[in-house]
Amino acid sequence: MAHSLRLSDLPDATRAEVREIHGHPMFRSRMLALGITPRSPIRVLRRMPMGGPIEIEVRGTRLALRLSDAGRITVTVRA
Amino acid sequence: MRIAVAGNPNVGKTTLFNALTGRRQEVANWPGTTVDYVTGRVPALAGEPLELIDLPGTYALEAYSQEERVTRNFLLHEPHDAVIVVVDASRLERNLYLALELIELTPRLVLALNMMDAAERDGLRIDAKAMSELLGVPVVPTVASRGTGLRELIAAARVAAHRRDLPVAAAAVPYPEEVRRDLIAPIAARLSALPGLRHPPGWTALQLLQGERDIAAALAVLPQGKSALALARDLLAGWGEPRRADGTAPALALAEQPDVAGHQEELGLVLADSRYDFIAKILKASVRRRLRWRRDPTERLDGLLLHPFLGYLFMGAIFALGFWLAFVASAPLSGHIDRLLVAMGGATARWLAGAGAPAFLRSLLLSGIFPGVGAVLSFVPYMAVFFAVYEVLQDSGYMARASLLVDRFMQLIGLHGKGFFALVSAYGCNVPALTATRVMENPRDRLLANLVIPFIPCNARLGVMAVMTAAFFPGAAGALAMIGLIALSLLVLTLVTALYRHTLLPSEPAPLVLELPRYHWPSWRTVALAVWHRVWLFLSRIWWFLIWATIAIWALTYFPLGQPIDHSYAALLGRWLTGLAGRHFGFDWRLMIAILFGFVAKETTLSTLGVLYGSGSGYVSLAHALTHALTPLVAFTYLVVYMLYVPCLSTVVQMRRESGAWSWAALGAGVNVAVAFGAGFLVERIGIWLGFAP
Repeated sequence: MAHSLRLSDLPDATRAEVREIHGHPMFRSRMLALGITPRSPIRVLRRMPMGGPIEIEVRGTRLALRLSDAGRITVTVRA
Repeated sequence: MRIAVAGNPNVGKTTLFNALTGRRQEVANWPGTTVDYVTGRVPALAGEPLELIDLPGTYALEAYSQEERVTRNFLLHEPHDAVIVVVDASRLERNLYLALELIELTPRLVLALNMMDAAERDGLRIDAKAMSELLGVPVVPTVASRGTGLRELIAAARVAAHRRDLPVAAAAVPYPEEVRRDLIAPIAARLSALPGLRHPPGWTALQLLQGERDIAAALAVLPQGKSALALARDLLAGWGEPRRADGTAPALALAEQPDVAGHQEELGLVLADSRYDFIAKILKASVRRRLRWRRDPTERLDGLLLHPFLGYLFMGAIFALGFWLAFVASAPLSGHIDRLLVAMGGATARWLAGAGAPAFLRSLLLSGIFPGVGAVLSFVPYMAVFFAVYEVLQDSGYMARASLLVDRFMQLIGLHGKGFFALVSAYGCNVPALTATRVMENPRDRLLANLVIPFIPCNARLGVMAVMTAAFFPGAAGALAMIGLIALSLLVLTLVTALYRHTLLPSEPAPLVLELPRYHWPSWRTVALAVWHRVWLFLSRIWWFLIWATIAIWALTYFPLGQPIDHSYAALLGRWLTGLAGRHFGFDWRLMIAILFGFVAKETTLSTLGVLYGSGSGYVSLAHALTHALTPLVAFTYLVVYMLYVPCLSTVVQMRRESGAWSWAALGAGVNVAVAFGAGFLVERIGIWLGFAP
C-alpha cells in the first residue's frame, strides 16, 4: 500500500519516491537536471526553523528547497 | 586550439583549470553580460598551443541563470575544438546528466573524472575504461588539487580535437523506441537535409521537441528550416494519440487545439528518465562500491553548522571573523598605503618647489592627484582580504549553508537567502558587497540586492557617523543615536525593497535551489587567483573615474585663484545647493559641499568638514567647531541624509558593472538621493515637532 503526499509534508528521514513535479516549466526542468525525476528515491534530511527551507537527499546529492517549492513535488511512501 | 572546460558547480572545475594553466590567465567580461570568464594558456611542449576557457558552472545545457546562459551560448555558438567536461567522481549519478547532454551535442569531448581521491575515500572503485566504452568518449581520472592526471587529460583533449571519424551519436542514450522512431528520427531526417545546420541533427531534433526557443529561432531563418519546426510541432501534437491501423499518426481535426505544451512536458520527463536509466546502467558497469562504515564528515559538520540553534551561533562567529579580517585587520594596510602616498606627495611637492614649479601645479599634485590615487588604492586591502574570505567561504561549501540558514528571514524583507552575505558585508564596504550578489542566479533578485545595498552604511560612513554622534550626543545618548540611525537604515532598506518589488521588479524571490556540496579545504591557488582577478577588474574600471573626480574637487576649491575658500567655486556651488535644498534642512553651504564631495569617497568627509569649518586638523577640534556651528537636530538630520544617500562614486561605477546598464546605476543613485533627503526632511520635521531647536 503506497500513499502519496507533498515533499514538504514528508517526515524527516522517511524514504520515498518522487511522483510528480508541478510548477513553472523552468523549475521542472531544473529539478530534472538536479536528479529529481519521477521514481527517484528521495528523503528529507533536515528542516530549517520557522518554516525555512528543507534539505533533501536525491541521487547521491544534497539539495535545499524552500517549503513552498517542495510543495510542488509529490512523493510516494511505500508502507 | 581552443578547448572549453565545462561542468557542474562544485566539482573542482576552476581548480582543475588553474592547475592546467597556472598563472597564464586573462579575465574578461562576456560581451553584453555582467559575467566574467577566464581564459588561460597551456604551455605546449609539442604541438599546437592550447587556449582553455573556464565556462561558468552549470547543471544542464538549458540555462537557468545568466552565467549558465553564457556557458550555453559558448558551447552552441562560439568556435572551439573540444570540450572537457569535469565531473565529481564521488557524485557521478547527477554529474553525468550534463555530460550526456554535451556528448549528444559534440563527440569531441573528454570526461575528466575529478576528485578521484574523494571517491576512493567513499569506497568507490571506478573503471574509467568501462565507462569510456559505454559513453563513447575518453574518460580520464584526475585529482586537480594534487595535479594528478592533468597530462593525460590534455593529451586526450588534443586527440579529441583532431578526431575526424566522428561517430554518429557516440553514446546514444537509449530513448524509448517509440520516441526515437516517431519523434526524433523523422525530424532528424528532415534536418540533416538542411544546408547550414550547425549542430548534430539528432540533438537539434531533441531541442525542437523540448521547445528550446533559441534553437527554433535560429532554425527559422534557414531555408526550409520552418518545415522542420512545423514537423516537430505536428509530431508532438500527435504524440501518444491512438494510431491508425496503417501505423500513421491520425490527422488532427482543425478545431482541435493540440496540447503541444503538455506533450512537451511529458516528453521532457521521458527523456530525463531515459538519461538517468542510462546513467544507472553506466554506473552499474563501471563502479564498484565497497561498504565503508565511516560517517561522512560533511554530515557530521552539518549536524553542527546546520543545527537549528547552534548553526546560527556558528554562522555569527564565522561571519564575524571573516568581516573582522576583511575590514578591521586589513585597516593598518590601508593606513600604510595612505602614509606612503602622503610621504610621496610631500616629497614630490618639495622637489617641485625646489625646481621652481608654479604653486597651482604643486597644489594639483598634493590635493588632486595624490588623494585620487589614494582613494583608488585605499580600496585594495579591503577588497583583497574581503574576496579571499568570500572565496574561502564559497569554495569550502559553507556559503551554501549560510544561505540555507537565513533564507527564511531574508524572505521577510523580500530578499533572497543567497544575498545575505552580500548584505551583511555591505556594512564593511558596499563595493565588494555588490559583487558578492553574484551568487544569486536570478537577475531580478540580484538587481534588487544591488539597488538596496547602498542604503547600508559602510565602514567609512559608520566612522564619520561615530565621530559626529560622539561630538553632538555625549555618553549614552550617542549610543542611542547610533542604534537609531542603523535601525532607520534597516527600515529604509525594507521599505525600498518593497517599493521596488511592487513597481519595477514585480516578482517573488526566485526558487531557492541550492546544492549543498561536500565541505572541502579550498585550494590556496584558486583563492589567490580569484582575488587577483576581482581586485584587478575593480581597479582597472575605477581608477579613471576617481582620479578625475578628485581633480575636479581640487579645481572647485582652488579656483578662482587667490580667493579664500568661502569665495571659491565650491562655495558658490554650495550656496546654490543650499538655496535649492539645504535650507529646508538647516544645512549651510559647507554641509552641502561636504555631502557633494563625499560622493567621491566617504572617507574624505571629515577632512572636508575640517577644511570648510576652519578647524585645523584633528577630530577633537573638528567636533568643537561643528558643535558651535550646528544644533543637535541639524547634525542628526545631516547624519540621516549622509547615511542614506549615494555611498560613493565607486559604488555607482560598480553598480553599473553589476547591473549591466548605466540606467540602473543612475536610477539606484537617484532613489538613494531622494530617499536620503526625504528621510532627512521627515526627521527634521519630527524633531521640530518634538521641540528640538532647528
